[in-house]
Amino acid sequence: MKTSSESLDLQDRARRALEDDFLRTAVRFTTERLKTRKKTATEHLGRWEDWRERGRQIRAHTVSHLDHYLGQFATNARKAGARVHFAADAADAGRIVLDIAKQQAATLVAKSKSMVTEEIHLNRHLEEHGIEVVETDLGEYIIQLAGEAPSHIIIPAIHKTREQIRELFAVDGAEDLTTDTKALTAYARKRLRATFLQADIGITGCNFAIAESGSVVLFTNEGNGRMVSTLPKTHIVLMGMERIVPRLADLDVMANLLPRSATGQKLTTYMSIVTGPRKPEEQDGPDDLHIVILDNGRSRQLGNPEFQEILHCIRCGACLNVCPVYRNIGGHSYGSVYPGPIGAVLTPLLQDGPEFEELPYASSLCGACHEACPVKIPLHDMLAALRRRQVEKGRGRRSERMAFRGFQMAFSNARRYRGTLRLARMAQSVFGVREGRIDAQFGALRGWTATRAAPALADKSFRERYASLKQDVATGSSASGTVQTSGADGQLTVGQTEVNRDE
Amino acid sequence: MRVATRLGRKQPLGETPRRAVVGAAGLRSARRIFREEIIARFCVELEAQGGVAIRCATTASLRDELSRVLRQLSPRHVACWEDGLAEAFQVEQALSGYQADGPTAVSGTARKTWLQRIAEADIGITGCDYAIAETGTVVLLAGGQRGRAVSLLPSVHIVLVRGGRIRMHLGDVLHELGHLPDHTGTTLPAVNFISGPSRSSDIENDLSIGVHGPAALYALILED
Amino acid sequence: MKVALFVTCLVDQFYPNVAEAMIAVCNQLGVYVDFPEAQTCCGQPAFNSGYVEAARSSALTLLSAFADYDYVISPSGSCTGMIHHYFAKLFDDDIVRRELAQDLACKTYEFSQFIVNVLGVTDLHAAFPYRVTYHPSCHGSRLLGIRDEPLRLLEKVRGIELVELEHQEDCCGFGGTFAVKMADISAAMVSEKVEHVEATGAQVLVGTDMGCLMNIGGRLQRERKPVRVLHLAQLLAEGLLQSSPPKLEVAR
Ligand code: SF4
Repeated sequence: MKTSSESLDLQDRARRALEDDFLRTAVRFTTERLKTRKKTATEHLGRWEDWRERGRQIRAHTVSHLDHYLGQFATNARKAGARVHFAADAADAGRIVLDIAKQQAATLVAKSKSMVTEEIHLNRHLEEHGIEVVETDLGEYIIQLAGEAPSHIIIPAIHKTREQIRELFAVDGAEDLTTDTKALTAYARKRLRATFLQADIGITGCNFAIAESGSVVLFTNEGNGRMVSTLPKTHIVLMGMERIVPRLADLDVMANLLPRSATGQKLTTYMSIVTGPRKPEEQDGPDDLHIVILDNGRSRQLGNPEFQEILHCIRCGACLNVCPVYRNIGGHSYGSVYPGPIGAVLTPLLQDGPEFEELPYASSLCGACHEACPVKIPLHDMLAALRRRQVEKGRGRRSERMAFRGFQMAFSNARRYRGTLRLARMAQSVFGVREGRIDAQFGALRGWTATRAAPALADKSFRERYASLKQDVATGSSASGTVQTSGADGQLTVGQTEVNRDE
Repeated sequence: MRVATRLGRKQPLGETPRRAVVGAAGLRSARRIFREEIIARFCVELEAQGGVAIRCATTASLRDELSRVLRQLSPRHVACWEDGLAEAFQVEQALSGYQADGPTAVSGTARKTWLQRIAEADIGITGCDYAIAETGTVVLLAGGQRGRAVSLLPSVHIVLVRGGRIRMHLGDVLHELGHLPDHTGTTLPAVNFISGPSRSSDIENDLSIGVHGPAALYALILED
Repeated sequence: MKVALFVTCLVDQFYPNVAEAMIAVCNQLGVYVDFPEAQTCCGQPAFNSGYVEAARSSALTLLSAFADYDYVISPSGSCTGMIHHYFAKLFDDDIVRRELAQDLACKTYEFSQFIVNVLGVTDLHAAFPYRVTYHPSCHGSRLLGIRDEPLRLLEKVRGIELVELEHQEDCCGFGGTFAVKMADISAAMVSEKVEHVEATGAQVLVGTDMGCLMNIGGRLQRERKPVRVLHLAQLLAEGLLQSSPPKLEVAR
């Protein structure tokens, strides 16, 4: 019964979100805006479909040769002076980062936005060991003050009002702050400037890693990514093991796909290519560069024809912006670090437990995510495949299993189908239900009738009417009162010249 | 290794696998583009990002424009790359009186003081190695006496651009970066691509400029 | 040409009028449509819920029902999409059936695609003097690739006033079992859709998938909105009754 309580969780969160008018308006407004901007940016580039296909090819090539490119990247990054660490899971990564921090006797860490660090709950881990961690992306800073998780992978504080932000900043120490965007931003600038200059360690994620040069590439807009990778003595990069592209030339394609899909920009304000720590003659830049390459369930997807492609993801968030489910319930309802369609697929793949097994059902399989994805990941197919996996593990709900066992019996043979459907049972459990005929064990179907009228089964199914329909056609009278046909054999034989034929 | 096994190989693949196409080859039209079009496009795109583009026909006019901008902004301190940039663009005169003295040393506590000095400057002046017309981007390679913080910490960033260094597309620049004279595949310097002033839309989608990085970006373009 | 009707289980059991309307339109164009009784369902409800075995066994009924036909037409972009994209995969381990499935995919058409792309007809000389808006269903447009075929048919209808549906590409929230499993989210989606439909001021909502139309229609009905919901075939058949044009014969 764990399943159904889990399902209550997700649905309860969704229900709460659906009642939150600000949240729904904010999410709708933002995603709508990002969608429009993306459209403009892709039209501006031209041949968008060709760029997408190239992006897919590059990601597919890299991921299916990840053994080679990962090795090449690590070798070249080390040649450039970086220290490269491999982390099998979250605990491993946490330990590696903590060790570095201890070596440096670090007390203050400045971070720029990184979903991977959210995935491994790095902040909590460091703070438990007495190290202060400050998120410096404006949105991340806001939700860090609120003690929350990001609700969008590109715009983490999409769900916060300016009044809430003002209050959070007031608690943080701001005086006489208005809710004006300029004033709020100015406070954050001043407050965080000190952090950048004092921090012992800067931590960033990694948008792409270039195998041929051992470089890490960061895309940011605020400049905080540059700050934390430039000012502190030590820079630690946390990267998912699949972030790699083979060559600098491939970055050309990715840099055209990622910002356009994420925010509708041609390029983010800053794109930084970091190769090793600072050179001896340089005035600034970190003395040490550590690159932590994280597996945490990723390599498990390799070699699996159904799910390997999830490693192609470039974390642009476009699938969130077009998803009607995300738009209605926001990111937190998913209950996972990665929300939206990508989260509904990625989360249960990385963490194969009962915790997230309702996630693949939080989709109508409308395919909007696939259409929006800059590297063409078939998320809707993966969602269906994940459901199949649940069924194979016997994790499906009992009533549902029964219903589909019935479906299989009845629908595998037209005669049985005809007989069963006379009893109208199947239609009720699979598609909908006649009002007033809800059986208590199909309680879930109430969801439909609570908000929608349900159609009644036709008095006679089409197959029962077909025989007499033919009869009607033959005699030239009207069939079932709606169809008027004539002609000896149901064909209409009068030739006509005015036919509009399109080639 | 686990990754190779998963991919059905006994050992990680040694040789770099072949591919039909690399990068964006063939995706852009290969028409010939003239200098004037490139410069004009760069200016339009930079301004679309909230930057200011000023075209200068000669070094003399560039010097005048720089003086004018500095007068307008009246900074207390200006930080400038110390790699001979001012001399190369003949703007030493325009800068005199604005530059604060301080250490240029690179290690230990001296570095902190150096950073502090840059942080206190109102304006940072840098050159650039490339610019990109299509996206209104300037491209800065790090190196000796070309502090990365100069384009980052001050509230205003002024960048001096040679018209001949502007390329049409990002891909052109990446191609040249891959073939830098001393580039052996591992010695790429830190490269920063900057397209306009720092920005954020994190507060109710309202665009705000200058959240962490510079709030203004001026590009002075020397055309000849 | 030998044309078979794949009626889909939803139309068979709930909306037989839609199938009859399809036949009427085809007849008008000189196409006779057969109904092989062995068919049941494309298996999509089971497939999308993860019950592959159940999907396979109902898909089998289609393989045998339609083996002997040149064309198979269906009133649903979604069920047609299921045949096009997933049938071959369902029988991955069975060469004979996989070939049958591929063959079936090649000859199966959604109604509007059949009329426009196979028969080459856009003008049926129908008349339908109402304000109409069209909802393109997700599976029809994204999975199967229906583009403007329904609109090309609608544009030629005499007296029709077509109004564009805002956010037409948004899913209506049906999604088969999704509508009951995630009922609240689905309800929120369908109310959004209904708001958009209402905003057009249309008297009639037309579509090419009865699943979505059942969902949107059910919501319209519950909110007592005076909007008629029709499948494209129903609208055209009704339009033919209104105009009673001379019969056309475009197919042999
Ligand atoms: S799945 Fe595709 S659209 Fe979604 S975040 Fe990843 S790359 Fe972007």
